[in-house]
Amino acid sequence: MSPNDEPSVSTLLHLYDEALPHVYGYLVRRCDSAATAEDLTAETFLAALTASRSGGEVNVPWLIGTARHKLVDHWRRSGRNQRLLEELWEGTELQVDSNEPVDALQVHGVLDRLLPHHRAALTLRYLDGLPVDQVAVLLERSLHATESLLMRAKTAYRQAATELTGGTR
Amino acid sequence: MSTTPDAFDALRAATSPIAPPAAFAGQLRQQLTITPDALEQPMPEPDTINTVTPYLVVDGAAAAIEFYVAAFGAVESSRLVGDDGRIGHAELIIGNSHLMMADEYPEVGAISPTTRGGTSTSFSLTVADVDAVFARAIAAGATEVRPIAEQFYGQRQGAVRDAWGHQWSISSPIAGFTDEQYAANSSASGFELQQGAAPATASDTASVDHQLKHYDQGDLYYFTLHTPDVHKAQTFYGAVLGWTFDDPDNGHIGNISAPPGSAHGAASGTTDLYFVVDDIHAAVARVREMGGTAEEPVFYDSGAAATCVDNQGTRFLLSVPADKYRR
Repeated sequence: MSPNDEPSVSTLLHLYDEALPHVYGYLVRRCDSAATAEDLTAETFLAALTASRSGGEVNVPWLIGTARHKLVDHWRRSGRNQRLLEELWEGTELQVDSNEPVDALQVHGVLDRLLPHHRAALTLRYLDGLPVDQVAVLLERSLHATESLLMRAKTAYRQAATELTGGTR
Repeated sequence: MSTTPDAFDALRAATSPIAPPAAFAGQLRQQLTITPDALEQPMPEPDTINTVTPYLVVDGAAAAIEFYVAAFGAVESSRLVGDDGRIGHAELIIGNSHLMMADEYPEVGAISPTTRGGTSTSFSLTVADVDAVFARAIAAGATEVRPIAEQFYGQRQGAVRDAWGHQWSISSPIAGFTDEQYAANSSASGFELQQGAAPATASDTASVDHQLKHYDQGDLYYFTLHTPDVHKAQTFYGAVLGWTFDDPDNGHIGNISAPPGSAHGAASGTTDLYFVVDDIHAAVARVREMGGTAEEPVFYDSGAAATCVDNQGTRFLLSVPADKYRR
């Protein structure tokens, strides 16, 4: 029996054409490069293959959820050994975020300049629109720590956005 | 929850699908089709072939292969047998090395030592226990050429000739033998040791970590260049300075001598210098006494560190290197 005869594999391949642009679209909007998005897309579908072979039901929401976890893992890897930097950030004063509008057009340019854990928090909270408690679960932090992290991330984002546009506000 | 509108809500991403490049889509589809079983098993290590592989011509390759298996623990990985019974090509693995061989094919100039009347090449076999392998080779039918002895170049070594005329030096390195002894023994034996720039062996470089050193208070211990994008920094400094990085996601530079350093993902173009102190708390106290400011020390695997600003506003860090990073 060839692998294609296996029901789980053929089901996944059937879903593949429809689901691929959703998964890739989700990831490429949140990654710093298309190459990273491709890697994480492949990881997501290979996880789907394993899941469907062990009897799990795989659909587009499942794939997006898995892609989100892959993304968090990716940021975690990128952020490893940056504890010192994080400590430095923890030491800075929390600034209350202003209500000035955020320019969505430059979001990628700005996110690329942030530390991975700041990027992770902002992406999950704002690009994905998840509530803070879900962001906390994904990042394995307490609710309080996540709120502080979000505040620091927003401060860092405002700074980076100003640097990027090269001007003073 | 706050009810004030959040300006960052404007960042909400679109959910419309985006098709990836067709080549990638096709490749991944194929991967999903052909590799289901491979997922549960680690990929086999690719068969590595060294750049240079000896090729032996042997008058009686089949019997010789039996000898190499018995004497040297060779593993035969393939054999090409001609319609006349001769072995046209065979491949063996001994330890981490590949060996190729064939029967004599005088019609194409492939002549063995027996026909030629001697050999001008010998094979150097490095093993853990030279005495055992030497004895096994003799027992399997080899002839002693040189008995085992400790040689001035730091090897316990003997040589044998197999029944097909190929010569093998079998040796084990003498533990603790140094380059200095090698140089001294060479000159006593009438040779001058001239060493190339390249490290002699991989194990030599592995055993001496050039990022470990003795530190005194005041020495520079580490530096970090603050670059927003670690990957870009790796590419840039790799090209400009030849720095190599052990991990694509980590800025630690692997190929510079102590003090080591790294390119870090930070949002500004500054440099951090970490200076060695004997006592982190005492040093922090001195900084404050002198009119500088210091954060409370933090303790990492790599040692203690305290971020300080001097009395003119310049930032620097104090460090007590962890024992594992000093000699």
